[in-house]
Amino acid sequence: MLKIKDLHVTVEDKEILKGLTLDIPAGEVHAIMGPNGAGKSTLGYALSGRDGYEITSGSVELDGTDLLDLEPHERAGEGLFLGLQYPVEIPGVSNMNFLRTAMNSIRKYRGQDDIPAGEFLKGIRAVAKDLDMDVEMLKRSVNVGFSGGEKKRNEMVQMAMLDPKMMILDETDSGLDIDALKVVSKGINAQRGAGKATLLITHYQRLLDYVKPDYVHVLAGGQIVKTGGAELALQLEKEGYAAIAA
Amino acid sequence: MHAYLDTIKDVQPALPGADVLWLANLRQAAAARFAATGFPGRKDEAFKYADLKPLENTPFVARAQAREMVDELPWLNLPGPRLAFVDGHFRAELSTDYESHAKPLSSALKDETAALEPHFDSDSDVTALAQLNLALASDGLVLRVPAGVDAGTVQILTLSTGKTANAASHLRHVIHLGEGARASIVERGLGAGEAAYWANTVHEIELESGAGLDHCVWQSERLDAVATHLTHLRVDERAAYRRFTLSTGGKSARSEIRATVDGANADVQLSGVQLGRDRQVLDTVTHLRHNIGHSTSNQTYRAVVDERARTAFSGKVYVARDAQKTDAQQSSRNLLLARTAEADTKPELEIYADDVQCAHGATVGELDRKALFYLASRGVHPDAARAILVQAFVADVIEEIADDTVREAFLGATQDWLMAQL
Repeated sequence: MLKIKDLHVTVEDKEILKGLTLDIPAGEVHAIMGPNGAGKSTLGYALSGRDGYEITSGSVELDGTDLLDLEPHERAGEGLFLGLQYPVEIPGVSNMNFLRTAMNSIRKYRGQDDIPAGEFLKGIRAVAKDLDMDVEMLKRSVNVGFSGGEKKRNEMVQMAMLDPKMMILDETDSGLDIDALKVVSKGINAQRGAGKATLLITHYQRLLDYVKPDYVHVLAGGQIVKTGGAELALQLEKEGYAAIAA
Repeated sequence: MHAYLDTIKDVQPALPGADVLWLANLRQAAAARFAATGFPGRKDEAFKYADLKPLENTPFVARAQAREMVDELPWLNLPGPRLAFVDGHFRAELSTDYESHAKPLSSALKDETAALEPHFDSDSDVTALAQLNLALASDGLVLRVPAGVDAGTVQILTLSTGKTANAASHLRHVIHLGEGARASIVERGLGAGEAAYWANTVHEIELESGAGLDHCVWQSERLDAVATHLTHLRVDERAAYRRFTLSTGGKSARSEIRATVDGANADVQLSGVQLGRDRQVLDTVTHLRHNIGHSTSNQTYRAVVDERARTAFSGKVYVARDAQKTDAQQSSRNLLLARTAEADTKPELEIYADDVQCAHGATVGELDRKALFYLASRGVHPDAARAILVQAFVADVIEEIADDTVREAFLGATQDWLMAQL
């Protein structure tokens, strides 16, 4: 699903990713773990095309499409979703309006008609219920006045509604209490399936108790330095990054 | 300046009410004051951000009569009287239901001259613009609502046809609401044709005890026009004035509000949105004077500035020594869409009472890049993302408009502006 080859990324003239190669086939969940400053968040932003993340060499393909030629909104149109570590507050724009605009933008990109209002409302009610999100909150401004847990749950609502092929979730577990972690995990697990793939970017092993990855990669110094099964996360938790990444 | 004085000499004898002695005297006095001082320059603090050069460079000529043909006017679908003014003159055949409380100044000057006199004898002609307006006022709305009466909504459209080059229209609206009376005024100024023009409007508004006026203005003049507005307002105890001004038009536009609170428990709400593009200069000035305490005022202004446009907001709040327990709030937020755009904001508090709540906040910023990326990462095209954020920036002010039809129209106008920009 996602093929990253020898990716080099520079931020403010400093090379952060130094030849990262990763292949995530459809149907799989991969986790990238690593110490602070290893380049984990840079990977997420670079893949989604954020300004200031300059790709100096390498290639990224999503389901056979070259992502690096595309603008961020076009990458979303191709089925990429980035769950942010710090979801942004947008005063004056309701969550409902935001989501409907996003869905219709993606549909337009794919040459489809706008989603009928009834279908949208039915969908959002079902998703909100699944993710334990008050529909009333979704009528308020995007993430304004939301707790850390509510913001992350809101990311999951967006992800469920946008129905992406490839999900990159950047520290989606950070700042969550155990109940919120369970809800967020439920949201991620609901998206597991044959035509989809997930990349979890995380500092801690905790999330992986609830979302069992097929592979765990260790990112250090801008490269993948080790790859293993779910048990690698446990080993990292016990022995620390220094021992493994060395 | 001489061209203006010549116009006054030519036009005054033919203006409506030329035979009314007190008015003729006022007009002459106003002309004399203008002759003595001329247009204010940048050194005049109240005109620091205004651009009156177009008025000095080209004389804009008022006419005692004008009968240009006009196609359909863009009325909003609101009940109540509709008054159309074309090139500074009332047009009965384009207006409806205007006989009861709302009538044109040109006819009121025939039938109720004496009743109008107190509303002209004011200090509103403190600026050159207002002096010229008084000297040359050719028409306007007279809305006099008796105590306890709800006059409903009055709609005004002022059209400059631009069929004659450099035409000026000086409209003077006189609004008086008796005790407990209510009314709503919705007005729009717009232009047609090809030639530049000057629309110079004065509102003379007085609200007696417990009266309430909602006043929505859309200044949508052509981008080569000069549009200057002065609202002179006095409110008595328990009176409420709610004003929203949308400014999208004019090469050089100025909206000035001078308000005096002369009673307790009165409430003055001033808000507005300025949308500037091209090389527009849009200037908003408020002077709010609290003479009596226990009243509230609130000013909420937003500006969105693109290309090489410049917007300004200067808001002064004056609280007199005896005006204790005054609550006066002011907020000016400005959004720059281009590095070449400019927004100036100048809040000013002058407070002589010691037990008051007065605060102001002013910001100038750009679109939030994090929010733009967030929207893009969800699939929203960058142009649409910008539109959504700009719309959100101004929407909270526009959404305060009480009337659904007016609010939708103003939101629509904002959206159209954005679509044209992005």
